[in-house]
This record gives sequence, structure tokens and C-alpha cells, in this order.
Amino acid sequence: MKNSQWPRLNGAISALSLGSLLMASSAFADVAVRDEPRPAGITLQKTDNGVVFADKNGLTVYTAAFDSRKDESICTNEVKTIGDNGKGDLFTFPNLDRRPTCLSQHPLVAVEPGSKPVGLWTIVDRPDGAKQWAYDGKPLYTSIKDTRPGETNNAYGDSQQGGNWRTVLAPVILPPEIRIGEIGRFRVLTTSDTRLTLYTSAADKDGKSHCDKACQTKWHPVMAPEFVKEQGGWTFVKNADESRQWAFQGKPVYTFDRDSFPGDYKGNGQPGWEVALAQPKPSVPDAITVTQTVDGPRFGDSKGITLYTWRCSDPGLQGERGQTECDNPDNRSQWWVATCTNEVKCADHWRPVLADENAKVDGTTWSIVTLQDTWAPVRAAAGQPGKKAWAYKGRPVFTYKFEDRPGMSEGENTGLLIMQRWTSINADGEDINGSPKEVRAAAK
Amino acid sequence: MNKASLFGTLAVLGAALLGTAGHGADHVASVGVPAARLITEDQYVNTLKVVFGPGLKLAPRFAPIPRVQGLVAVGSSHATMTAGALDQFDNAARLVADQVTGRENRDFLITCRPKSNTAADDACAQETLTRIGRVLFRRPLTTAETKAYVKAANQNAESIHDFYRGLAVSMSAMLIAPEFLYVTQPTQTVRGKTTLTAYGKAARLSLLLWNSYPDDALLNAAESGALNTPKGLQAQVERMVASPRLQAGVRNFFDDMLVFENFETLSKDATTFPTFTYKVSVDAREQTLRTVAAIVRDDADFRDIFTTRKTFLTNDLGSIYGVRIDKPDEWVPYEFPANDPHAGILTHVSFTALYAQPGRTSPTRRGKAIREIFLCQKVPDPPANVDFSKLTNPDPSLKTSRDRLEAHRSNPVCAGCHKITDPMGLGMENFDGAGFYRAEEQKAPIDARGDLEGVQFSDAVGLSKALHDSPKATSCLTQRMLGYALGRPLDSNDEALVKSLNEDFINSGYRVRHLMQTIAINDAFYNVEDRSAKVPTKEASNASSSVQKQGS
Amino acid sequence: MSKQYLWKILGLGVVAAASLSYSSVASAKTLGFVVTGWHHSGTFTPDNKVECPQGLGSDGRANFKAQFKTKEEQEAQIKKYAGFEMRARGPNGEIDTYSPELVEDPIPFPEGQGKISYGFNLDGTKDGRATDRTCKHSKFTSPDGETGIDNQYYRSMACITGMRPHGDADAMANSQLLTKMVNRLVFEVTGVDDEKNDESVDVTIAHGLDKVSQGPSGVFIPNLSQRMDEKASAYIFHVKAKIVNGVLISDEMPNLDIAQYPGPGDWGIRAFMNARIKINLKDGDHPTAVLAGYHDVERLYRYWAKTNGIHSITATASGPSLYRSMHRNADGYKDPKTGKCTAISASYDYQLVKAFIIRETPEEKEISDNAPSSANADVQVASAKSPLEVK
Repeated sequence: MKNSQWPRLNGAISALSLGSLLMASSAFADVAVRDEPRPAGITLQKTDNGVVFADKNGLTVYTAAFDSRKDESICTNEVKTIGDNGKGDLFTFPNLDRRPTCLSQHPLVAVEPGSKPVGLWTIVDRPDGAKQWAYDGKPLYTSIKDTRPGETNNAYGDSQQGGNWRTVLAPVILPPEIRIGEIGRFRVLTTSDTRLTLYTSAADKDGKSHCDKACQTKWHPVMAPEFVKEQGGWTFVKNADESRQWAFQGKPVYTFDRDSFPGDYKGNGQPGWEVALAQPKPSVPDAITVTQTVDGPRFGDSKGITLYTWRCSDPGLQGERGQTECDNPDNRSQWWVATCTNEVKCADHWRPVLADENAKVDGTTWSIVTLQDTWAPVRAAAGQPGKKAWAYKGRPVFTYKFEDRPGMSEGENTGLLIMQRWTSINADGEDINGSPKEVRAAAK
Repeated sequence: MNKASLFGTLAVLGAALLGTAGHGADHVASVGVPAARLITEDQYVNTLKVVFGPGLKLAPRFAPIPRVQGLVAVGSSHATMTAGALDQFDNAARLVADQVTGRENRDFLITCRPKSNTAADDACAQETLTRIGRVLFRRPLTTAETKAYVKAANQNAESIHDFYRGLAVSMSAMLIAPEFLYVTQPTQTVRGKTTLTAYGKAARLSLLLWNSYPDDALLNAAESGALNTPKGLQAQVERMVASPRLQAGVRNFFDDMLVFENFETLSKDATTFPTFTYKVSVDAREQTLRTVAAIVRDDADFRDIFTTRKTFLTNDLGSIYGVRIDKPDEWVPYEFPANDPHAGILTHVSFTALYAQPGRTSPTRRGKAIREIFLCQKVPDPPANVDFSKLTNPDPSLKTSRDRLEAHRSNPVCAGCHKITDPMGLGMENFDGAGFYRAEEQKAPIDARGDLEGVQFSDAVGLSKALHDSPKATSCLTQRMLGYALGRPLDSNDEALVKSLNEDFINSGYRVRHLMQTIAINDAFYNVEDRSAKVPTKEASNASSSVQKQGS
Repeated sequence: MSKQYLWKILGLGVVAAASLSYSSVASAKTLGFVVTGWHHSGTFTPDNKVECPQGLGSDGRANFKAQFKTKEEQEAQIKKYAGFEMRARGPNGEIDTYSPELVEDPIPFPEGQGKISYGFNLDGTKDGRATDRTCKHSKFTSPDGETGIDNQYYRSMACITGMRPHGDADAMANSQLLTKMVNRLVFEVTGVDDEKNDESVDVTIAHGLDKVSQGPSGVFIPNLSQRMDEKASAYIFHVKAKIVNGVLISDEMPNLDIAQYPGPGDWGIRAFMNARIKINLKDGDHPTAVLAGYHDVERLYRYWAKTNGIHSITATASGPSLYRSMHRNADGYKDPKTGKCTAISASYDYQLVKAFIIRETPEEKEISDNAPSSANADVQVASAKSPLEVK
């Protein structure tokens, strides 16, 4: 690696934790993280969706969309009693004696005594007296949905960077011509002007570009500026006409002539070429397949039957949406029962995907959870009996009774409002550089 | 440098240039009195995106450049600078400087590091500004220039406490300096012969082949003197012709020659042509450019542009041509079947729709366009008092354009000009005003017969073939390419050169790359002589300003 | 193709299914269409007096207020089952939309009385009498005079404001039809020898992958190309058809599933049984069409509930009324045990635009099927064969 990731120490920077130093030097084999000072208690953590900032225990930190003012947090321990159903009706939440609070589900990232702001890291002086870290003006929290480092269960969705809660990606070292885009849950390298997917060629294994003129009509080199400083794994190779082409970790990068829009990746599967991912692809368990629905690829069970998760966010007041969730392991709210009359009927409609005894789990996206016997999209409490079932981002996955073939969408969007529903799990991009099993229905 | 003094400098510069007199009373054509050419939008973007990378966000809207002798490239030496136009350059300059020195990109784009971000750093400022200045001014900065720009950077850095912002101020100033905005023609006289200097040659070469300022390697060849030797020049020309960047030069030439700026004012009547959309017009321009560029890239016979059934299409274009597009979200190579009426660029929407009225065809416009663009001939504008009523409120028994245009042809006042346009334009009548093919007009069969300078044809394919075979079309291309390369109007003094280039072009098999390469290594491209003393015996056969506008 | 039919009859050989590839057989033509609009078929007059003499239906909110008559009762119910915006109307607060069998709407539900509708004779009877498979119901006549048409779903939806042509739900459905790709529907007709009269052609109905475009005045642009989604093989359906005097009329399809937004809210699958389609080829670039078939009542209701129903308290539809009406008007798939019909006939008016239908080329298919598997998947990628090869 040409440019060392050893951080430069100077007096202006607060003490860096030893852990983060070590992490920096061990060099992820991915896009390099920018070497910038961090406060004590803040670490870098590799997740399936990029390198994120994490707390001292390695648990992912999040920002909240409802914290719209700089360095101000509206997430408190106050029990909210009034909700807004999104149609202008206000109502009182049920079960007030058991209502969670925003902070009980999203603990704040506390400031260690004696710590000082540095770079984009600032300190929020909360009205309740506590001190909380903020990054780029956004207060930081962890989530009770995450049980181990590397999980990002509170940032669910097609874009990890959409929704009420977002992870905070560590800034990475990218040339002006390169950005990171998302295809499904994957972070891919793209051009910065056209946002087109980048690729590398197996033929370029010696670090030189072997794409001749004919090849270049299909695969366009991504050019580097005439004045440029190589760093962070980015170097350039000189082509025959003396122009410079970017290379990442020694591999020259290209766009594919047939890609027409950001997120297009038609070059995938072309012999000898690979999509340039910002980090290696996390794996998918053997028991999980990809099935093609009319709305695109989705995850399915071993037979290709569409998988669904229940996601629920309390219908809070305008400007406070997302403060509490109703899809946590301890939730027995009536929201999900509402779509199927009662628990017995619901257990008949929605069937979990039980995990084999010796099922292997890789990465932090898929996991195995324990479900109570009359199953529901909740986990058993510790010590209680139950069945082992697959989960995606901490949420147990289910098939829908009325689907008997791969690729169906009968269960899609069954729910209440936007914030409480069963949805299938987007598998866009799972076929990049190799895919999990795909199962298709026979046509009729 | 403020704007007022900028104007002053430009004026002085202009005068100094015009005063340059070359020796060498060579009768061979030459660059002529070097004129300063204003940078075009494309050249600006091409240059800066090479220097600072394609990630640079840049979409300038500079004032349009007049068209002279059929080309904007020639008009660029007639372009004037107004305060408004300078404003545009100033805005663009700040945008570029901010991006280059901004936090996001500076680590990559500024190759040295100042000792402190909040103070001046002479060494880093000098290193950066001399490298950038060399490329922008197409030559190394003089000592005085270097001193001035570095001083400005340092002063600003100290007063704002920001090294990078200080740098941005100087960069910004460079980007509106006349040395950057104008491509001048510095000369040298060696053994009695006056030519462009090596840096002057580099600039000329780069504008022709890449539509851009010289890259680092070309500047090095100038610096080392290699460009002053035939071998060194040849090596650079070969490098540049072999490069994918040649596409930029080729596309710009044809976009210019085919007057595609007319697309910017193209509109169709939504009632008559409800499926002709803005996207169709954007794609139509690109279709023809890709078609022509492919012929050049494949080093094929240039005349194929008139007859080839191979082209490139999008889904929107497919709906006009009535063909299936296998990949509806992409550009696809497409070949029309043999015997299909679509053959050559005259049958592209970029010609048929562009040279037509919003609601109908215009054989006269089409004929005029063929004469002026492909034959380099001048068609006079219509008189101010022409009566269009017979065309717009026609007798209903006159079903086709041919019938309606009879009125002009039978009127002796009109006949003179229409005689030279309509016989060709009527050959295109199988394509309506939006480019759709039709066999009939108002249920009357279309008669597309005509003649091109004595060659008979029965339809657009025949007309295109006649153009393909026409020696005038070939020599017109040669003239245009030479005018484009020299950046000045041609006159009778250039005839011998045009003739010899044309013969060579024909002998090469009508290869455009060969023509460009031949021009690029030709002495005439670099010789300088004082032509003000020479009175052209006559204008070149295609000379005098002719602006191809949407007129009649 | 008439020639093929002849060969089959004479038993002189089998014409391979592969002949139906998109690079068609020498003389036969392929026609393609994309759906650009749809409405429920039936009688819909501007002041609705003909078809809904009792007036139009009431929504869930109005029924809630009629069920819990006093303000105090209403507030108590709302408080008890917080958050369900007046939908918690079951005995234990079950939601009306999702548990319609547990809720009775107090307000009478008007049903469509109109007699004119495009459609098909699905049950084979002239007068809608009961048979061993179907239940007694009244028939419709088409505007062209064709009798015996079945469209019982009309009775249930005709007086629901939003679902009527250009009502809220209908308008939203048509706008989302164009903007949301999941809705894209294509019809491909292969083996066409004669667009006016042809004894045997083949129709494929599938999801499409490309946009439709309109010109500046709103005209749908014909002759654009549209890719067929061959990956979503669960949504590719085939049926034979004939062309008579410029009108294509198909045989019956056992199943036809269409992804669709039915209005404000989400999308779902509108599932048909015994579906038939008619396309007016003689209309040229913008033909009209009719699609009809039976909907399993429970399945159709589930579709409506999760898409339009739960999201649109203002679509002037109340789930329990609609549900009961659909069961009341069900006319097909008689349950032998109960004697009750479980499916309801329905007809839809479609607008199409002519297009080129594009299928994945063989080389692309190879690449997408053979994209290298990840290290985890030691099972072969199970890809669908060409849908044309599946019997």
C-alpha cells in the first residue's frame, strides 16, 4: 500500500484510542478510510454495509432524521402519549404503562469525561444534563436492535442511508472522479460525474491496462487528472496516448459502454470482468435463495418462496417520526395482529423459516433468532423455549401462506400505514460477481 | 487582474498580434496573419477536465460564437468579448478554482502540501501555479507571471488565513486571463522562415485533433524542441491520432460542419407531429455524430456517410424510424436492411427534421442545406417581400410539396434561386417534417425525382449516392477541414493547398484521419506570412460569410 | 397459423414450440402492445342515476359513525383501540378492512344496476342461470350489442365513487400505471399471418421493463420498444387466440396474475381465473381491449384491502360492505359443500399502444444464467428455461 494509513499525530488532536490505531494500520482490503482524528470512545467498525463509526464497544452509531437542528437532540426519555396516524388524526397510544421512550430504544453515545470536540465531532449539551457526541451536527445514538459489533439493524431498507435512522459512514479516500454508489445493499465504486458503475478486468492482473482500442469501445477507462497525487490505494496507469487511467489496488477501473444509468450493471457477468465493489461482498446463508418477483429480485426460502419481515415504527407526531419502534423483540403490540385478526390466524398466515441445527452464519446481516412457539415477529426473551429461525437485520423472516410458487407477491405491503407493514427483502445486486442460488417459477 | 485592465490587455494583445508581419514570401499557403481564437465551450470543458479530471463539475454557458464561412471554428477568431461574456468566464473560473482547492478534492488535485493550511506557502504555491499555468497558457509562465500569481496567492492566503483559498484566487485569475481564453499564435523566425513557435504548434495541433489545449506530453515535446523536427512532430501526431481523444476533435468538426447548433432552436408543431419529442431531437443529433465518428474511427471511406445503412439508435429514435430496438434503454448499433429507404445521413432525422418547418417539410431549406453544407456553395437569402401564401394556404388540389412549389419555379423572380435548391430538396420528400418515411402526401404518391448537378436520381437514396460520387462534395470536406484547422477564412491563395490536400485525401481512400494527419504535419499548417499585402484575386469558391440559419 | 392447424389435424408432425421465438418464422408477424390505461367495465353515467339510483356508497368513516352512534361511544372506541383511525370496529377492536367478516356496516350498500358492459360470456349460459359450477346472476349486453356478458364485480364496485372511471382510485391507478414500473404490462401476439382474420395466433402476457412515453400533447408514442420481463417467470402467461374481422379474441387462460396499483396506496396482484382477452387490432396504433375472468373473492378482497383499502379511507369504500357484496354477487367456482360461489366475474376496459416487444437475446441469457456463483452456493443456479419450452 503506497500511502500509509498511520495517522499523523500532532498536538491539536485528542488522544486516539489504541484500538482505532490498530484498526487503521491493519488496513481493510476495501476502500481506505480517511485518516481523521476521532474522540476517545469512538471506534471504526466494519459492517456488511461499509465502515461505520461505532461506540467504544464497537456498536454501530446512528443519526436520526428527526434531529433536524444542528447539535440538537429531540430524542429523550419522555414517554410520548400522543400519536399521529398520518391522516391528521391524533390519538393516544395504547398500553401507556409499557411505552418505550426514544432513548430507551436508542441510547445516546455519551462523551467520556475530559473529551474535547475535534474536527466534525461536536458535543451536545442536553437539557437533561447528559453530554452526547454529534458528528457533522447530528447527535449520535446506538440501537437496542444491535446486539454485536458489525450489525446495522436499525438502518433497514434499500438504501442504508435512507429512512429515519442512518449509520454514519466513515469518510473514505476517493479521487475526485470516483464516488461510492449503492446497488441494493452493496456499495460499488462509480464515477462521480455520471455515477456509472466501475469494473475491473482479470486480464489486468499485472497492474497494466490490457484494454486495447477495440476493447475500449466497450469498456471505457476512468481517466485521472493530469495533476494528481496517488493515495489511499488509488494509483494511475499510463495508457498509449500518455493519458492516465485510475487503478484501485493495482487494478485499472473502467465503465461499461452499455450501462445507461446510475445503478445499472450490465457488465456484471461479462467474461473476465468484475464489478468494482467498495468492499468484499458479504455472504448469504445456504438456506436463503434469490427469487425474481415482478418488482425485482427478492430473498426467498430454500424453495424460492418470497421472504417477508415485519417492520413497525410507532406513528409519532409530525417531526418526531421514528422515535420509537414497535418491531423490537419485546414488542407485543397489536399492530401486527391487526392485519390478520388474531394471533392464531396470524401464525397461520405467516410462517417463519426455521434454521437447521448446524446452520452457518457469516457476516452480520443474516442471523438466527429464537421465536416463541405461537410465533410472531418477535423473539423469545432470554431463557425461554422457542424455535430457531432465520432473521434479516435482526427481524425474523416469514413466508406468506397464500404463496405457493417462487416469485409471488401476495404478501407484499400487507400492513397498516407506511410505518407498519410486511415487506419483502430487496435482493438487488446479489448477483454482482456471483450470486446465491436463484429459484424461478415455471411460466404458465 | 480586474476586468477593466483585462479589456485593456486584450486590446493591446490584439493590436500586437495584428501587427506581426512574417517574412518568407512563400506562395505556399500558410497560417496567415495569426489571429487570436477565443476558446469555445467544448474546448474549455475538454481542457479543464483533462487537467483536473472528469469529475470536475462544469457546465458553462458561454456566449455563442459567430459562424464564418460555414464554421464556428473560423468564427472563433472573429469573436468579440463583452462584459457579459466575461462574466460567464469569471463564474466558470470561480467554480473550477473552488472545486480544485476545496476540501473534498484538494488532497488529490494539489500535489504538494503547504506547511500550514492557514498561511501562505511560497514553495507549494509556486509548484502548483507553475504547473497549472503551463497547461492553461499552453507554455511555461514567464518569471514575471510566476511572481505575480504567486504573490497574489500569498497575499490572499495571509489575509484570509487560508492557503487554499489564496491559491484559488490566483487560479481564478489565470482562468480569466486572456492568455488562457485566447489561443494566440506566437511566432519564431529561423533562417528567414517564420513559423509558429513549438508552443504555438502544440496549441494548433491540439485544437485540431483533440478540440482541447495541449496535454502535458505535447507541451513536453514543444519544450524539448521535438515538435520543431519532422520526426518529433510525426510522433506526436501519430500519438494523438491513435488516441481515443481524437473522437472529441472529429465530433466537434462534424458538429460544426453540419451546423448542429440549429438543434438548440428546433421545435415541431405538436398537432402535426405529436410524437416528436425533445428527446428525439437530442438523440437525433447524437445519432449522426456517432454514425460519422464511427466511420472515421474505423478509418473507412468518408463518403460512406452518404450511403451507409449502419447507424446508432435509441428507443425514441426507433419510434420515428419504425424499428425495434433490442435494448430500449441504451444506444444500439443498428443496420437498416438493404433496399431500405434509410441510407446515409441525409435520411437521418438530424437532417430531415432539422431542415424542415415546424409543421411540414421544406424542400427549399433542405436543398439549400445540401448546397451549403455538403457542396460549400452559397445560396442567397430570399428577398424580404416573398409571398409564402401559396405554400401556407395552398389550393387544395395541390397535394404535394412539388405541386405547391411550382409557383416559385414558374415565377422568374424566384426561379433563379429555387432552381438550385428545390430539385435536390424535393428528392427528400419521402421524409416528412419530423423524419418519418412516407410514400404519399395527402394520398398522392410522392415523386422524388430530381438532379444534382446533372446527375439524375429518383429518391433520397439516389440523391445521397449522387452526393457520394460528387467530387465537389469531397473537395468541400477538404476545404472545411482546412478552414477548421487554420481557424480563419480561406481565400484564393489557399486554392493550391486545398487542391493538393484533396488529391491526397482521395488517394488515401477518402480517409478523414489521414486528411487530419496530413494537415497536421503539413508545413502550411505552421508557416506564417503576412497576407495583408496580398489581395486575393477572387474569393474562394465557397468564400464569404454564410450563416446557415433557419430562414425560409 | 392456419397451416400449422392443418398439419396437426392430419397428424403429420408436430410443429416445435421453439418456432414461437421472437425472431419469427418467415411469413408470420409479431404484434406487440403495452397497456397505457384501464378502467372497470360497465355502465357509468355522469350523474350515476342510472346505475346507482340509491346514490353512491359510504366510506368506512361514515359507517364507523353509524355503528358507534354517539360521540361518547366513538371517542371511547377510538381511545380503546388507539391508532386505527376509526377502523377498529370488530368485537375485539379488529380492523374493518382486514377482518370484514367480523364487522357489519350499518349503512346500506348500493350496488350497480347498469346493464351495459364490455366483457365475455364466461359461464357459457345465455341468461346466467345456475349451473353445477356457477350461481344465478344477471347478464350484461355490450355497447356493440353482444349479449350474455358476465361482470358481477361491477355490481359491487359501480357505486363506489373512487373506483368509478376517473374517480380518485381509478385516476391514481392510471397515473401510477405509467410511473411505477411494477405495473408495466405487455401483450405479445405471435404467428400472425393476417391482422384481419387468422384462425390461430399465440398471445403472451407478461410484465414489461421499460417506460412508455407520451408526446407533448399526451399521445402515447407508438412503435417504441419494450422489454418483456423474462426473469419474473411467475408472471408470464400464454394463451391461444384467433382474429376475426380485426378483433383478436383469446381462449381461456386458467390463470392470469397482473401486478397493479388499484389506486392510492400500494400495489398488489390482481389474479384472474379463466381469463380471456379481446384486442381491437383494427384500431391501429392505439387499440382498445377487454380483459375479463373470475377473481377468487377472498384473494381479490385481500388484494384490495392491503393496497387501496387500508390506505384510502376516503375512497368511499368500506371493507365490510364491499366484502359482503362480493360474496353476494359471486357467480363462479361453486363450492359443492356449501353451494355458495367463491369467485366473481369481472371485466376491465383497457387502452393499449402498439410497441415492439423485446425478448432477452440468447447471448445475454447465457451471461445472466452463468454469472459465477458465490463461494457459498454449491448448488447449481436453477434458472428457468425459456418460458416457451415449459408445458
